[in-house]
Amino acid sequence: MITRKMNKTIQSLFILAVFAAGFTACNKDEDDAPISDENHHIAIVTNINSSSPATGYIGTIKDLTVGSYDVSNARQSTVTPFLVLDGDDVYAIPNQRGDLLIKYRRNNGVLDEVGSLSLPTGSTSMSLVVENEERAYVSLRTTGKIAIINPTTMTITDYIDLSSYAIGDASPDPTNMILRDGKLYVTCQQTSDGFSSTHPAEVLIIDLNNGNSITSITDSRTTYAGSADDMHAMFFDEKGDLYLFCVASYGFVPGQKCGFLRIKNGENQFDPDYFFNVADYSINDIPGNKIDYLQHVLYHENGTLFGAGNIYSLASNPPDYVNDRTVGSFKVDIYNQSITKLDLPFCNGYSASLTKYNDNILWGLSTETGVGIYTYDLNTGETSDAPVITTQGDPSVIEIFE
Amino acid sequence: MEPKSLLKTLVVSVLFFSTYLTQAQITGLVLDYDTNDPLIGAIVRSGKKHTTTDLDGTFQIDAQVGDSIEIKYLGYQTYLSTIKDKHLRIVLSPKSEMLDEISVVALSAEEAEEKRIKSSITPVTVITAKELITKAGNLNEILARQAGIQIRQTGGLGSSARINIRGLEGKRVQIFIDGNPLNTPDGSLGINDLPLQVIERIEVYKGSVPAWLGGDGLGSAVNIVIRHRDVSYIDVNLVRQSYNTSRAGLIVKKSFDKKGIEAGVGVFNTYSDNDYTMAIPDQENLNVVRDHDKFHSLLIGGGITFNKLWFDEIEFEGAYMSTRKEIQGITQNIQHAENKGETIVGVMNLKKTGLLDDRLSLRYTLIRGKINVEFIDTSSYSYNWDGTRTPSIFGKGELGSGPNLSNTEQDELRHRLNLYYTLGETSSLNLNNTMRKSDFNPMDDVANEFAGKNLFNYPGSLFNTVSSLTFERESKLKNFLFSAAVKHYYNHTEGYNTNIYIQDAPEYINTNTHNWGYVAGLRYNINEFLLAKAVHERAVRLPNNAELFGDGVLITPSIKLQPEEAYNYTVGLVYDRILKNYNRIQAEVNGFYMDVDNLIQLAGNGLSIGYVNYAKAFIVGADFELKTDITPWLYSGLNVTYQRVVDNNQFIPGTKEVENPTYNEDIPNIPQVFTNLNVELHKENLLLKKSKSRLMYDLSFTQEYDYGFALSVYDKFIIPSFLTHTISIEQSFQKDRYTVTFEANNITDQMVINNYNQPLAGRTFRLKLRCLLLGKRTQNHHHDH
Repeated sequence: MITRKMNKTIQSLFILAVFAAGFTACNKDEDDAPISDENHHIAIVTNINSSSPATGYIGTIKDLTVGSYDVSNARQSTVTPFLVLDGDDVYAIPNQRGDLLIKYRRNNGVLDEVGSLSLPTGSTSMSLVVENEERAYVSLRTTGKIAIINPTTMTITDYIDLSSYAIGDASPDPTNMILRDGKLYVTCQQTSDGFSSTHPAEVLIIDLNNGNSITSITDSRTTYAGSADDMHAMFFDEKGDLYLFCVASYGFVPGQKCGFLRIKNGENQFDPDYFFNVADYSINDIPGNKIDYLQHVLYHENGTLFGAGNIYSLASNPPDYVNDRTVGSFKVDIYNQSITKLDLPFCNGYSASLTKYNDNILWGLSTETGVGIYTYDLNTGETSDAPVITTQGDPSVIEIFE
Repeated sequence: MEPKSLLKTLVVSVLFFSTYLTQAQITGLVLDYDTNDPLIGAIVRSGKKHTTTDLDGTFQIDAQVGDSIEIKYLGYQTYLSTIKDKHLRIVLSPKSEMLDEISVVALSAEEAEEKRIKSSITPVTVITAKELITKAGNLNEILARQAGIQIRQTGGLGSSARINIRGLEGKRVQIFIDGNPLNTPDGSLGINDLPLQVIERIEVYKGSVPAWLGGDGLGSAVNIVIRHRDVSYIDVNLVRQSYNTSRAGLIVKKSFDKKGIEAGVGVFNTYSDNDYTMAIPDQENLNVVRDHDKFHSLLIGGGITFNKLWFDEIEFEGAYMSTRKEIQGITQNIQHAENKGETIVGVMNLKKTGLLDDRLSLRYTLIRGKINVEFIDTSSYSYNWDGTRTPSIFGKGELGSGPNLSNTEQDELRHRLNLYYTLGETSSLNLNNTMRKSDFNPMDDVANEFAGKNLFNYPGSLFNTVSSLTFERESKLKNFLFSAAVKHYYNHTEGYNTNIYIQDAPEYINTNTHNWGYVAGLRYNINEFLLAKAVHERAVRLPNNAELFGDGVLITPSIKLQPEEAYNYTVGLVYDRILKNYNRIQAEVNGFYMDVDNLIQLAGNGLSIGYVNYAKAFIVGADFELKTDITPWLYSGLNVTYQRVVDNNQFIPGTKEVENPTYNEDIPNIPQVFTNLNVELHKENLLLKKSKSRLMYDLSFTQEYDYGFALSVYDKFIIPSFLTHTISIEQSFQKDRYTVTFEANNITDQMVINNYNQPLAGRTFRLKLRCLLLGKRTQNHHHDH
């Protein structure tokens, strides 16, 4: 016989079942995304570093008039992905925090996901170079290979194996890449203890039109060629000379000097007459007058570039990750070898991004007084004293759609 | 198992004979139900003691609250129950009448104890031995089915897991064994290695922790009370389950009553291949069988107790435990890296009651342990998921940035002193002091050689004490209880300021902190069945060595870390009523608000990372629990939990009032809604005489929750909801001497993930055989604090 109490319990079970069904039926609806009416010009990565785990967001900003940017229409990502823009396409490189390379396309204020591919497990993808619609290259730092992909179909078509250039392990740690005239230049960041490097700076030159033959060039004046989180650490000037910044164990190994090396146009060797020793350059208006590496650089023109540099005198010992803001903004003349501090506030290492937009250098800074995009006017030399666009999260990458 | 969780496991392993004894005089009055006349000459029994009622129907007997009591009188129903009070008024009904809604309804000893604990000021879930003992599952699964509790598992048996209570987890939740804090460094839940057969009950304190439980934390705690049978017995458990998992346990105990000596040994062996299939994150359509996740643990323990010396009880225990756990890769194929650990622990327990005119009780525990943990990662190869291999991408080693062959020795010395002093009939004082001294000595010459300098061989130490003084006052009618306590925390740590980028000899540094906390609350019995409680607490969690000194490599020291703090407010209602035919209804509802600050988390600067005081949050929520014995053969339980942890930092820390972009957003990676249902059919003598049959069904549901802040319409980092069903059939024979349990866990093979990218096993079958041979009962022990 079913008692009244049993009836009540059966009732409560039924309520629970309905309750549970209600939970499962509640899903997010992507169709709610608002659509604006024109394409945005700026692509940005911001990172929510206040959460544990930190997460990244990839989004777009129309222009400098918007005042503020939030991530409500941005694409969620593992923290600090790298971006490579090609026309309307945005490739999000997962860095060491995943294997999924995702291709987005800007579409009236949002990024549509138009493709993805799985890179080898744990490969630590560091950079991507698009050659044409059917061919692009992805450097796989821990795998010791360059993946050749079809960016249209988002499939891996082949690999270029670099493992024979490894010292003491299976990978020469290919990092930054740049492509010109059928030659793919790849910086190698081989460590000697897992963290720092005593090996000479090394670049592999891969002749793509000649069976991917590889030439290794080294230079012992500095170490750690390129910069692990900078798509622009290697660049060509107007003369076709290739410059690259070498971080030299981020300044942590005494005697190592970070700075710029050069490969002259048409040469397959580092220019023995050129090395801009940044580590020893004395900079006015910063504590200690020295920086120990440039975290991000952006070549402008006529030997002028802009860079975000780490000022070690501003770092606490042990580091204070809440209050320390150690990265300053600089203008660098790589021909005449000089560095000038810009009048922008110091920021943390999770921001310090920069790009060129119209007549401004945009700086993505997370500072003591503001978080967002600051500007340096290339015509007047004036800087903004507050963000012209505040951002939700620390901006680690800013790129401009061509 | 994570190497740092070994300590917890091993301390756990040796504490399984502890108990707390308080003998006292119980007085009572036995009356006729109809006439209220005293019954003269009724036989009163409690354990070995017996007496008869006097001319006025009164009696006195040597027993204590929680003991069983039996009263017989010719022509009357026999009264059999548990002593709930020092002064009893018992009404016997003539045999012709049914026992009705009067206080004379029997609760088992454990049910009575559960009721007593629940009448404290703090919301507490009690999991009794009845719910534990025959389960074929493990402790984590049982805890995960309770109101307000989630277990965040990372893999199969032996993998680390964190307990989450009221939105706080890991190191913020305290774990105790018989009141002794485990406070191990990493906050993972090593107690899963504790065999269920040694557990008397589990108390889960939610939102506030009684001060007599020493230790630090932010307001929730799990106290595991170890079973202490007072008879000679043999207890054999054998479990066989999916994924080549087996568990075996044997306890043998002998009581020498005349000499007042009890001696016992236990051996427990656990093995698992954990070879379930998982989907590899970020790799489309790649499923692999976990093939490097084997786990083995062996625990051997023994103890001897003296009951007839000056102390009521002197107990010496010792245990040895060894574990080996392979490391299963998820984002890469790991084939060789593994952890090993060995521990030897010795424990001394002293108990004495009846001091200072029977006003003072004393309990003292001293623990000495040596723990040795090895981490082995020296492979010359790295492996792809298809089984092919290449030379190690680091030169040597599969994890981190190079090889490791580490051996960390840890010396532990701990004590707990608890003094309970009665101030008259209604008030008491409780003084509790815990002390821990730990020395760590890590050695990794292989990693140092690879790094070219000494990165790892830096010793560290800590010394801390937590002291509390609690005052309790209960009204004479026992319908009102007030409790207030103050707590003091002292923490001293020593270690080296070292990390990968420091070139010079590292500086030796130390820290000292003093902090205060308090707890105050009350319980009021609204009527016979319903009680209300409210409690407020300021809780403190001290930063541990790993947080203060980093890992010697990329986690840099953070010597200025402040303790985490919480202001907790909890209110609750508890309903407990027994109706006719032993139909019992228990219901509990709690609401809570917690204001937490200085939460410690990892942060970085792009090159290195370290722990910082960062997050500030408030937690709000409620949980509801209903347990009903619908009929003598049908039981049902239901609980539902809702909780939100909200970012309460209006400005980004370290800035001049820069708006925090996640202010007032729900802090991610915390389950918000979950519910559990269980239904049990049980019948005695269904198959044979003295047999019991049980059929149990368990449902668990957790709503999906975000892994990152929910900020975008395109958010994709979501931990999916899951709904699992588990069915168990249990058959025991000869009064529980022999029990067979079969369990099909997660029968629909639902994908269950409660940590992002950490797939768990699906459907699991288990078969458990248990044999419990009990000797003659001699005396009662009671486990209380």
